[in-house]
Amino acid sequence: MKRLLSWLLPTGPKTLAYMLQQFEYNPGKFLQWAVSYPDLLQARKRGSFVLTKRGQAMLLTAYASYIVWLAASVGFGALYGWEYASLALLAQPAVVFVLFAGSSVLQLMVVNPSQRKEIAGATHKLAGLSATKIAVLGSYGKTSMKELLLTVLSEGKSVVATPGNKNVIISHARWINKQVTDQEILIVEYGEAEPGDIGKMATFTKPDIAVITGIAPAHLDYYPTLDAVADDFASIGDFVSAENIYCNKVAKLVTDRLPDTVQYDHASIAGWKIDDINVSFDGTSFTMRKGTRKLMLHSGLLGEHHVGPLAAAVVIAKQLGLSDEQITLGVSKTVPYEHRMEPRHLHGAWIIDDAYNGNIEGMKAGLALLKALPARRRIYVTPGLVDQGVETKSVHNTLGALIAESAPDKVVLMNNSVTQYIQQGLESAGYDGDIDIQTDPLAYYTSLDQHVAAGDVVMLQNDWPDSYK
Amino acid sequence: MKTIAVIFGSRTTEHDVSVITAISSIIKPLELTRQYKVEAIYIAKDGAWYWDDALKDVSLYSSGKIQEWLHKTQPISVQFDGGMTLVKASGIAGRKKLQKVDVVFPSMHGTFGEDGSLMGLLRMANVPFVGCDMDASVLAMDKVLAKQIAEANDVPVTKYEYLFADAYTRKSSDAIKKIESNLTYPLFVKPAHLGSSIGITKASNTAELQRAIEVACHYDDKVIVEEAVQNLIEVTLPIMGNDVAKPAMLERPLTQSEDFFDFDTKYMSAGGKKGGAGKKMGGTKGSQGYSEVPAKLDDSLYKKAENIGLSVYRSLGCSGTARVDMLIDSKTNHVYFNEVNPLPGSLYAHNWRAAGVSNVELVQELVRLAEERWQHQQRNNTVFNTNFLQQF
Repeated sequence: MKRLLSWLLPTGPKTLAYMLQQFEYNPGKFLQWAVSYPDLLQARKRGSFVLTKRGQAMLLTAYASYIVWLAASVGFGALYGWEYASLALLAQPAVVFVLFAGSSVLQLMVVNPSQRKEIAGATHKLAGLSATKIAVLGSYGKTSMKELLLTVLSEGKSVVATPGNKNVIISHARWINKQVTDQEILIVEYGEAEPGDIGKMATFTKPDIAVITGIAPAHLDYYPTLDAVADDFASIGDFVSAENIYCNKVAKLVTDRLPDTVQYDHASIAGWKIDDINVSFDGTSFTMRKGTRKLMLHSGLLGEHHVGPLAAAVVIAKQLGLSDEQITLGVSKTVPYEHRMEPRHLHGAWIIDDAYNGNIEGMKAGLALLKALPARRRIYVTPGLVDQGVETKSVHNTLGALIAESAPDKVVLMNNSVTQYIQQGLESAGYDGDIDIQTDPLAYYTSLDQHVAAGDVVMLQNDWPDSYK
Repeated sequence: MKTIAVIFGSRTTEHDVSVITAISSIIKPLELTRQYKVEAIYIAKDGAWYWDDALKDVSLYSSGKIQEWLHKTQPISVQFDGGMTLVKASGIAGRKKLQKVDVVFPSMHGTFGEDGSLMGLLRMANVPFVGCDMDASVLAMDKVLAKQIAEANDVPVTKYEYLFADAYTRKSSDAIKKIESNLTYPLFVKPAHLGSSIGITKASNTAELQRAIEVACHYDDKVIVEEAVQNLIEVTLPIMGNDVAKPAMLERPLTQSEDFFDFDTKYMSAGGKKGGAGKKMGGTKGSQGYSEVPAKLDDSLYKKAENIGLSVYRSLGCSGTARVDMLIDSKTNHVYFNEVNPLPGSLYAHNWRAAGVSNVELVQELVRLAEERWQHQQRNNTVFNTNFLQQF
């Protein structure tokens, strides 16, 4: 009854428009969600509707169809008796189909032609530039890699990078059209959503250097297997020569396909040996040695897992002609990015905000960091991972086992469709700490100050958008 | 799910502090545990009891709309039925809303709450309640009795005299003479039963002493006059536990040396009478302005003060939680017991947090201690069969 009411209330159309926005106006995904007949009062928790032109059009469409439905219900009632009006009331979900159709038509008739024009303009502009282009791709860590390359390389070159997590062709085109001028280096983040995406982006931007940050199960709803993801990443080899591709050693499925690339991890890269790694709340220190050359480096980034990417940035910086002093200074300026292993102090506790982490490799890195940091009590908080497709159960069983291995004093899970799998993983790995299952994640995050005390270290990994259950 | 009634407000000068303690430091973390149904019971300044979820919203009080709300709302009654049940008239066909209470969490400072009055009522109702029991509350709230018990247990206290308001009104000169012959200025004059530093005045001569006693008599019928400690360091120690007492951290309020920790310093000026002096001194802001947690004392002095705090807690028979205030002469390293607060404002949650106990854990542990003490009390036999009545 409550669910039915949530669809009939005047707030319903706005929630539907919001959810369409959450699904990035993908009519198929939206329809799939809507036919599950969710409680609309519970659907919108985290974000808020953003009044873009497209959003405005969808909101107007939603309310117009809602008013038509309302008028039709009253009209039916007046003409044929109120028992028919109640039947018409039940037809309210038709608003969904109007939104679905409206979104599809808008995509085909307006959005697609407009985007094609923007991409053509950017292609033409790019052809006239002499900048070195670096492509950053991978299932995880690409935004961090892009940011640390930007920070380090900026010490000796004029550099510009794609903003935030804008990593699809249309956002690249808009960025090129608006922000790229005469910079020496362009750093472009490649997002992958379905097979063939990397090739399409490389055809568009024509990179000189590429960095592959890692591979993990993500977007498996669209990639049938992890091998398909690896094939897509390895397709960068069709555009960039092997000696200019830097690949994280953990991405074995990719290195198997591209064996001659420059491979990096926290121990070595391109003949450099890495040691003296020290992690604290101030950041991470390490030393790189090659023959008689030695670089002592300190970064504000937290965790041993950052050492490999930092080392790759160092070697790329050397390749592009930066001095040791510039590189050391550049590395010292790298700091945690928002919601990515970002530490903050709260009532004497350390909160490591890793809310943008959305893959199992990142979770592993976070758990390793949690174990390594000094603490009176360690608390691990996660809702789990989204977009794991058929791997959902096994990935979350693995996550449970990884948490157990890291042995935090307390695990806080958010009640959702994957919680049981994490619990199974914890149980089978013999975890004997406290497990707290929260039903209202937002309430928990916003009242974290009530749950922590001095000496606690809390690792918050991943956030769970409203478009997932 | 257990029902916890948080009782706050009441006919006391510390009414406002009690509201903040209840809403911020008790109700919120209790609700976050998701283990309890939390009921807010507000006792208005006229003594009427109210029960409603709307009372959990601090803006009702800060906006001043509470009076209007009370005007529109019927007070509740309480049924003692082998326990405690809240009774609220629904206004519909004589129907009543009833709510059995499993545990009471008092959040009342000063008279009619912290002084043992409420605890006596709750003991009669045979319902578990958080914090010190009735007898410890009575003793702790009387600064004179507390000092006398401390002295009897070899805990050092500053030199003091006390007087009753009626006797002082009849013949003030005798009282002043006795005080001046036994104590040395400067002196502190305090109402014997009030907390939150209300009515406390410092006196450096006879005229100031007379005025200070008059102020204290305005608030209380019993007044204590104490010698000031030279080279003063004030410290306070929150403690929690029944049979086994666990200290939090020794805390030093960061007031200027010429100040003392009065109501404004504690609750109003956000850091001290001198415009946030504590901030300049690098302290942390807790419920009572800026303070140093833990107090920077050498290890032996810290331990000595901690032991005196624990000794006072045990001597007075405190349970649940309490906060012991002490005065230190920094030159002689003498530590004196000053007073006990059987229900510290905001539960001193900032201090417990610094000691590694989160707000949620603090309220959970206090509820556990309440139930533990109640279960222990149930073992006592309260029935004694005789043939006495058969004689009549």
